[in-house]
Amino acid sequence: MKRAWMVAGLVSASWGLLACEEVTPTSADGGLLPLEPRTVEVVLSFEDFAEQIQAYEGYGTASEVFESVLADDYVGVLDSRVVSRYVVFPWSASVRDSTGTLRADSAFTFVGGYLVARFDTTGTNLPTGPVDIGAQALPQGFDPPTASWTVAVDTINDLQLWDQPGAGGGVDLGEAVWDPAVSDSIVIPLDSAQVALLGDTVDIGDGVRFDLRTPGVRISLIDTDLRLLARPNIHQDTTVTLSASGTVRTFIYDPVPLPTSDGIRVGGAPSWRTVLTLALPEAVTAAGSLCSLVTCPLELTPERLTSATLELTTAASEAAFQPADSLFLDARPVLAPELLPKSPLGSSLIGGLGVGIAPASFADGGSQTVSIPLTAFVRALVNDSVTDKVRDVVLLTPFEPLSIGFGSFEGPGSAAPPTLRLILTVSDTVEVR
Amino acid sequence: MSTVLRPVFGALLCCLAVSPLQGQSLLSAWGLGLPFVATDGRGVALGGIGVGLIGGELSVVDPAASARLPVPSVAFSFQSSWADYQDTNSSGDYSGTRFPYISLGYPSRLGTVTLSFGGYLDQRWSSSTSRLIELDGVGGTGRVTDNFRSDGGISTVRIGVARSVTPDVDVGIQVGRHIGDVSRVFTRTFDSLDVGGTIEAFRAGGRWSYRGWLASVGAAADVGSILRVSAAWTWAGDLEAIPDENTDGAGEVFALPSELRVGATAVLSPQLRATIGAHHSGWSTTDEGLDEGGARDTFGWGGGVEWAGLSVLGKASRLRLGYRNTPLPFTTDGASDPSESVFAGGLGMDLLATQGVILARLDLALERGLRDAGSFEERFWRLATSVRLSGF
Repeated sequence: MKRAWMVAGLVSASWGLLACEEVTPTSADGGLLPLEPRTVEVVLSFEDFAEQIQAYEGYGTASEVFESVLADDYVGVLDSRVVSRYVVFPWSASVRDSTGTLRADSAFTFVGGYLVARFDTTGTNLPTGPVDIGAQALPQGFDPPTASWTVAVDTINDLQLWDQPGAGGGVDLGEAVWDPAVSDSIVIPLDSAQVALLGDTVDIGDGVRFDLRTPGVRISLIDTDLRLLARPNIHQDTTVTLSASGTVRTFIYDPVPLPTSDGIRVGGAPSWRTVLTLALPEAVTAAGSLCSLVTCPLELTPERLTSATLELTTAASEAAFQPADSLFLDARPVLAPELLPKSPLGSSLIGGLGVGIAPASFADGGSQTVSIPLTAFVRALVNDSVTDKVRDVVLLTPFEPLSIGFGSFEGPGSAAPPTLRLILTVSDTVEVR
Repeated sequence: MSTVLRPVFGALLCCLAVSPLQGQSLLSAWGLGLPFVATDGRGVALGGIGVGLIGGELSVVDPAASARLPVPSVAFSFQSSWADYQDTNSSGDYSGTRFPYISLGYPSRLGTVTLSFGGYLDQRWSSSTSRLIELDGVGGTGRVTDNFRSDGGISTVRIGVARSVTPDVDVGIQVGRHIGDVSRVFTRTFDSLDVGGTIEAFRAGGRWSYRGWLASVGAAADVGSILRVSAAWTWAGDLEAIPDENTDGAGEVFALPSELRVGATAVLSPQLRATIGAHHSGWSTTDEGLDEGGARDTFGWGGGVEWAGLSVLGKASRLRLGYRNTPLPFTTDGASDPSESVFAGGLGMDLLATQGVILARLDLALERGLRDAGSFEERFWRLATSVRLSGF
């Protein structure tokens, strides 16, 4: 009896497993499609889809940029220097005494040291040959977030100008040659008097200015260190190497880029943003013969809007401020345009890092078209059921500021103004039969 | 539940979860779908009419069949099919397994109470095509792929009672509901190279649920000991298709047909029986509700022979041969009226019997069929397995 039941069970179970693999009956000729949607592309001129455009500057500071810039008369225009301050000097050193026991010694004497600077060898900010880099002890203190070419400190009720623009003056600490073909860093030795200029444990100094002494070059500095050679009190025939920590750094440059009148600018340090205020028509007209497919003018509805992309044409940025690496472009809704330039922003409309653009696109002759997907944003704009419509969208880099270089795009008054490319699909309703 | 029964119900649950009503024909795209009869492997192999069989106690379509069910029983069936089609411009193949029915019967003082769930109309199919369209009005084109997918179907759930009114006459009645739903979604996707970037697909469509009443009465009679005749008449109320809140499409009401099934089995010898039957469905009443194509009344017939002088694995078994021919009710513009003709063979095994009561029965049926509508031809193999377990 058991065997008979087992046969029934096995047969049924095997059939059940067979049921798990399905290929739906599918017609390949399209004759069974119950709909014949019509898809058309409509390109709106700037005047047809936007009300105004405005570039804003001043987001972030140069001190927040990962890579500082050194430049000397780059493309005959740009000077940039790095100012760095080492705010924590070592308090003690671990030294073995005459019995070999490791002891903490806080009564050591600085007898020398050296500055280390590391540079980016992977980007396009690379010199073609060796360059000279110098260091000077700053004659006055500075505030990294507010320091600029002419101002050392610009905080509330405290405005201090540099004695000389560009953090000039001070005592020369020496120079070194950096050959990017050989290494990624330089070392500038310091004697005890020079170390004393930079401070000690209880008297932090004003910092160091690095400058490029080879004209026509722009390079990226990643990091600087101050290493100190100390003679311990408990073992005076020994020298130990200690590091200053808590480095604060920024770069100051001249000139700053001029504001753009009607162009689109994104990036830089501090960063630029450009805000577009959209004003979409209620209906659009398809080009050429497409009006025979759809009824023109064609009302814009969220159901019909398959795609909306902002088409921008890159323009040559000022040569001194052309991006050294790919520039990523993001778009976000401006939630309170009346608070611009400090309006809160919505989530990214693009996602990820945004749209990547090669640096060559911002050089002379490198013009290219860039598509910024705005489908969800535009769909909400043409949706009558959305009451609080957001009409402003800001173009920016996803990380601000990212570099001194910024991206430029042709504005409304140019030969290649921004356009809004819409792909619309008109369809009947799917019915049950 | 005994360990022996677990794989059976495991398989059942697998099919219920994965493919409650899988599509098996491209003709599911016409009208309200492809009708099919929820019957077991024995009924399939004997002409597919489903009434008038001797011993068909748990038939979904024969209300009187369960009148003489001696013990509580459950029956269920699986159907796997492999089909290919050929049309003027296209061809293809597909496969699927569906779950035609499950039926329970419980003898009581009133008679045998039955509860069944079975398929009625299959609406699972899709259509896909890729082509170039002009996008910008000045010659710029883009490749699009249009896809339409219909996924769902209509089933029946019935509760009924059957009893013998005389030693030779059985009657039965069922009431039930048409239930089910269908998702119909059109999707247009764009080639990212042609349109210069990734564009999300255009989608349109929705989901409708089905509701409708049905009732069925039937009677069967033994004429001497050599003939059993049976008839069943099913009335169906209007079928409502109700869109859900996210569906733009409208609701619809479809008139469903009444259906008459008659069948008879003659005992030609102690080991040989012959069955014949026919059905008429008034599908033309549905025609008015269809926006596309039409519907027509159908009259189908089928029959077969069963030989019981066989033993497989030491179990009493039966061989069956059958044939049926059925016009399909739904038509479409520009195509000939469709029909289906099927040859079938089958094997039935009484796995467990005691004191003349069959406690476990396995029925297999293999069908080879053709559905055609002018230039459209669809050929299929279908394997049906049904199991009846009693006395639990």
